[in-house]
Amino acid sequence: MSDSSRPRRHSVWKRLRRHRLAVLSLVIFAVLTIVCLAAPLIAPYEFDAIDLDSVRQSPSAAHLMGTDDLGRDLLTRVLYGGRVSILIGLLAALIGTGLGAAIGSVAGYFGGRLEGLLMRLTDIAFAIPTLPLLIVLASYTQAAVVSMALIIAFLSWMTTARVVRGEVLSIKEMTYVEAARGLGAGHTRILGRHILPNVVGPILVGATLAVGNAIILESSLSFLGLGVQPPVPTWGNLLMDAQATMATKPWLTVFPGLAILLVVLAVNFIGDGLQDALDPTARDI
Amino acid sequence: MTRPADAPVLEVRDLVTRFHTEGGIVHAVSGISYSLAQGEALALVGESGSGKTVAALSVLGLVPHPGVVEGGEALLHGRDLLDLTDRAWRDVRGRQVAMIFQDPLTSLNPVLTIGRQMTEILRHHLDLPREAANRRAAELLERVGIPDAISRLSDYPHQLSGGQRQRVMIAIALSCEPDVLIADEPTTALDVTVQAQIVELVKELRRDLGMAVLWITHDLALVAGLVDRVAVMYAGRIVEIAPVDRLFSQPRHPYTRGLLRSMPSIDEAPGRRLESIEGAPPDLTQDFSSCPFAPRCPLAEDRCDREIPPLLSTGEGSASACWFPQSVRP
Repeated sequence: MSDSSRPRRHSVWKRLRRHRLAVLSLVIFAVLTIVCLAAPLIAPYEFDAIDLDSVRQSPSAAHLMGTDDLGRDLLTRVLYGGRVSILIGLLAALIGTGLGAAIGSVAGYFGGRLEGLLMRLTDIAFAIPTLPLLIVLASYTQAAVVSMALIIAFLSWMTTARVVRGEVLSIKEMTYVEAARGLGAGHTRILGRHILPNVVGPILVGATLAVGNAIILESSLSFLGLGVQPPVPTWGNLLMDAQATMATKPWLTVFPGLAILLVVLAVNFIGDGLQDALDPTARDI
Repeated sequence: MTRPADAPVLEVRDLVTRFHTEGGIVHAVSGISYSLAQGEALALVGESGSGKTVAALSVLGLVPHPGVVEGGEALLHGRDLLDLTDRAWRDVRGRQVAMIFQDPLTSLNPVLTIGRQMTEILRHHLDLPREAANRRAAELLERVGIPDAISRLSDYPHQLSGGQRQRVMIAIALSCEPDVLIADEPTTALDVTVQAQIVELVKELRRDLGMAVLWITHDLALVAGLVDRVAVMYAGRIVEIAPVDRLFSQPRHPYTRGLLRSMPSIDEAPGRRLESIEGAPPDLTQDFSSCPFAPRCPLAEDRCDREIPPLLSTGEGSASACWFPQSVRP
């Protein structure tokens, strides 16, 4: 009994393991990520290898997911696309949620003018039309993964900020916060140690939703020609490329779409499971 | 500056706390004074809204917005707490003056283990390393009568009963061996047998550790065996302060007498109706220029409507704020 926080971590993992769907999602997510990361090693073709003899083929043994207008292997492109999309999704969710949580908790905890300022800032960010801002931002930045993730994060922190502020507003009135103050805890300690652990649930849910949103937002950017530039594939630009031929060559839409769906669903279930596992009052079955 | 050995640990003088609400100024505490000697226990007794909790929170600098401490002093070992900076306050709270709150069910953080919540204060105030803090926390839990202390450290609050949680709160409050323990109705949310256990525990700890206790309650009977002196509050003022036996045997203020008559007693004839004090609690948005109790007082005369009676000694360590202090048994 040397560390009173160890049992907690232990039991979180134990509870998460009981959440079958979350475990399955964790496995799916891990496998997808690893496979995508290993794309250069396992992909059957080069991602930009054009083969004009075999354009627009439906799935076959040679091309498991078929080929596109330029005869490029879709499986290869989906694998390579996943590298970019998953990375952008995770990074943007991390930054956006972190920013939102920080702004929301400071606003909720300190209140007064600071809260007014921060929440009006949030309102303004909400009110800014996304598209013109994106175009301006993208013209000043290079379409690299990090800058894409940053742009998406700056467009999506507001919901988290509002939710966290609301939670903090109610939790800071709890007796245990007053008790902590009565025992000599300062603002940082109260906010970090006593309030934020109670808001982990909503933050986590926000973050998992943000992963999916970021992947989808990235595709809109790619569609506008502001995202990651072709020929480098992302799930977003694969989908956008396939738009015109959705009816005649459905595989071009179905496979990238399925990939996005799988990742977003998996992340959401993981978030769900984590939320339950992190709540110590949930019953140990 | 040297201080005499019998100087009070905590001395509150003319404390005034007001709440500036939209509906006007609420005079929650209007100039109360009391002192606590080392190891002494004082009860602040009064009905809801009499200002007893605010009086205690003022001493810790924890008056919630929009309340402001507007006057007076709170001297801890001769140093005025009301002048402290935020940082200095934090070193006093929990270390020299600790507080236990009313509802043990909500005063522990539901998502942190008992161990985390106990070691936090030890590591913060006493700079204990993790190992030592854990050992000390287990000792403290044992001290307040929680069996199997070491394994309890990794429990969450919801795994403990209400009484156990209040014991944990007491253990946390005691962890830095404060000079003054402020207990704000710590037994209200507990059932009667557990109440008695908690009172007994505090009594025992007070004797062993020699700390002063300020016990806030509305229940005169509960504190009878626990405290040395009782201060009765009404409308933000102390209307009577006396050694506990004397307060019960010779209450001077008509409000105190009313309170005592409204208490059930085992000696009295069955079927007797409990008396209540006529009238309604005072409206604290007015700044009194007459005795606040006069409208409900059976003995009120003209003078009571003109002047506020000061707290005047009635002998033997007692004082009463009444123009016509009674000397006969109620």
